[in-house]
Amino acid sequence: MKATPLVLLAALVLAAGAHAFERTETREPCADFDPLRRPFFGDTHVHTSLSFDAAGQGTRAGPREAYRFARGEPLGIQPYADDGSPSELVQLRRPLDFAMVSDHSDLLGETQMCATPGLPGYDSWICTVFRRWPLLGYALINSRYGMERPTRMSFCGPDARICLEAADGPWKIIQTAAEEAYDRTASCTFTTFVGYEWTGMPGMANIHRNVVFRNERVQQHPTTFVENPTGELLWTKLEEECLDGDRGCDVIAIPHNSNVSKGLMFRIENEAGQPIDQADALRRSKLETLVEVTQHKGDSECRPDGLSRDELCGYEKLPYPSLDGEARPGTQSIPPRVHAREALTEGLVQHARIGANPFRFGLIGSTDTHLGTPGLVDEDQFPGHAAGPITRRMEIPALPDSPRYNPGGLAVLWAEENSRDALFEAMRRREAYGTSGPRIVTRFFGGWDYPPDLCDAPDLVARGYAQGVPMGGELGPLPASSSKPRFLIAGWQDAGTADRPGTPLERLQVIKSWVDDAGPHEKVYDVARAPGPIGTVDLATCELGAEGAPSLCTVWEDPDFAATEHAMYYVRVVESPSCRWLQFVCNAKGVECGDPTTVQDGLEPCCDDTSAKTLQERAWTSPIWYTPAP
Amino acid sequence: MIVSMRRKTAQRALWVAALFLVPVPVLAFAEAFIPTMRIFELTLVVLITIVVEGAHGVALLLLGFFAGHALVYAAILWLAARVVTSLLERLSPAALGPATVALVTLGLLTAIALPIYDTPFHARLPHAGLLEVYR
Repeated sequence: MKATPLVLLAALVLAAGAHAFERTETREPCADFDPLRRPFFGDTHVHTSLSFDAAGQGTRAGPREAYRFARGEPLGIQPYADDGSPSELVQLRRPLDFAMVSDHSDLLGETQMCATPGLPGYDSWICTVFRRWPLLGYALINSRYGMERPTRMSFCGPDARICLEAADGPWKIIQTAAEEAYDRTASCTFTTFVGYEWTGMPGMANIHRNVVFRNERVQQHPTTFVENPTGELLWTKLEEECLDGDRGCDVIAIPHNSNVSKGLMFRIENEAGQPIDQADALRRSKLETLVEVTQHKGDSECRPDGLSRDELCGYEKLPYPSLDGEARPGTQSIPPRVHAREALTEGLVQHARIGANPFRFGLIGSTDTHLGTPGLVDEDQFPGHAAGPITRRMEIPALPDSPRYNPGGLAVLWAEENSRDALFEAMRRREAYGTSGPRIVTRFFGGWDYPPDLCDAPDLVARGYAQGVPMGGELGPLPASSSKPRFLIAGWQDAGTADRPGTPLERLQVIKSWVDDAGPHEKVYDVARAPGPIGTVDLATCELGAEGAPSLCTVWEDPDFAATEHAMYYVRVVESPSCRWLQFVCNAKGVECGDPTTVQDGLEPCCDDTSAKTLQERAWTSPIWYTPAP
Repeated sequence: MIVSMRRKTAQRALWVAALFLVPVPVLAFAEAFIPTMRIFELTLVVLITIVVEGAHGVALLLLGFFAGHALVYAAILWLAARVVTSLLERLSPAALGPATVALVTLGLLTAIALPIYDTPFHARLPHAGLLEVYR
């Protein structure tokens, strides 16, 4: 490698940057430390038996079991026989690097009380209903918490004190399990985060947020939707008790499933009903640095009929915009701003209007498993997600889930080492991306003077950092020496495992949003493609065709750049087609659509035209923004 | 032993047995085949929940849903019992009693021996026989 002064400078910058993240906890430094950062794969959205809906589905794995599973141990899942033996064992092919159990803060106490003899509330009527008729109990309790103004169960007492105090026990269990599973040795094999899910769902509109704490210093009680029924109130609690409080905790919140938020996730009015102002925008962009763009309840990236003609936007889309949509499909239209890309574009509009971008967030994926199985994302291993009546696991079902749902994805963080501080800083600076499951690796840098042949340079990453910014960053002012931004974009296919090799890549795309005098725009650019025809897959065997590339890289210059326009760019890395989970199940059950005798009850989606049988797995990077000089 | 039975008694016996034994479909909320009496039981559960906790969420909707199902099926089964009783009486009035007892016994044994119910409302046994479905 030719050590140019620039590369030496980059190395110095990064070496300095290596210590840029503040060490806020007591632990051994990681032996494996990379100043140029490595991708760490994880799952920040995991429910266990402490969550009301998971418990109602018969999930027995608690936080400890979930973390053991994330580290590679097998886990038995329901339904269980009378002797307690599970009906199925599941195991990750590759352990995760990090995980966070994010049980619902709402009903945390009630779930414990209903399950534990001797606790107040155990003998209450509604707990009896929940234990004896779980599906009915789920519907009665969940819908009560999905009202515009939710209220607590009567056994919680007039001020909910009984139930809030009962939540302390499971909250402690969550913290203890995270601490036990966190590798504080120099090996740095596995990182956990303490967190919870604030479960806001006014009128069955999903405005959930996963709250992630930087280290073991956390809120005394998790914030609940019933007592704090808006996103702004959640932020206030996090500010009062952590960021501005004396507990010393640091925290972010990650919205998920904007696709079923009825457009309430990315509102452009504040709590008072007024258009958001600069302070609102800055507050939001500080606390909500990431959005979970994919998970089992569908993809939230883009709107199929949106501003851009995006031929790949139909991926894992739900045809309804609310949490109860599955029960009444076809009755609701899709309102504006239910997708991340719409919000990212709207953020540019707001930035131009008020001088700050409220929707300056990066993208990750996760599972939202309710089986306590973080990272179980391989299409051929999907056991269902086990939340809600549609995906009940009270029996071994013909299909493990609604054909509209999917195994979910992964969160990937570019960090120097596998420790809480390093990973949390990656989340905060948005140097993160999401995948639909495969361990695709992607780099995305933006700058003004990357050379066109940078992909051939052995030190492209160092130069990517030295001459620009990584995903999640801001391009900075247009220098006099340049007229258009250039982006270094690279993707590597999932290396896979010996028994299941990864799928080659089909293409790299840049998605750009910008705002000009005519309003907001979006455009999708194919910037690199694998040579040869588009890949194929044999549905009968799920064998992949040979088409695709193991890696793709390019330096792309924006041909439509205008220095006076707010803009945002992110990258989509797209695999060649492969079998979706439904096809794996149908094949395993011997379904042959030409022979109706093989299509048993419940397997009809194997042979209908509305359920996707193949997919193109993908990764979405966090954006890079450009802000024109005022 | 020959059982003699008046027509109305036979009809009531068949109806009550059908209410407890014949699996009927639940048409929304969750796929299920359960006895009508089980739907009456669920109606009662929701009603008590409303009394205890108030009519929150979908409680009223569920009450109407279960009550509607239960009443409609009770009426259908009443008509069915009436038709069956008429047929049996036409075949042989003297055999009405034994035939009714035989039918109820056959239904009872079938419901006990086979998992003819599909009941997601149960805590642990989705496919159940009579002894489990009300447990």
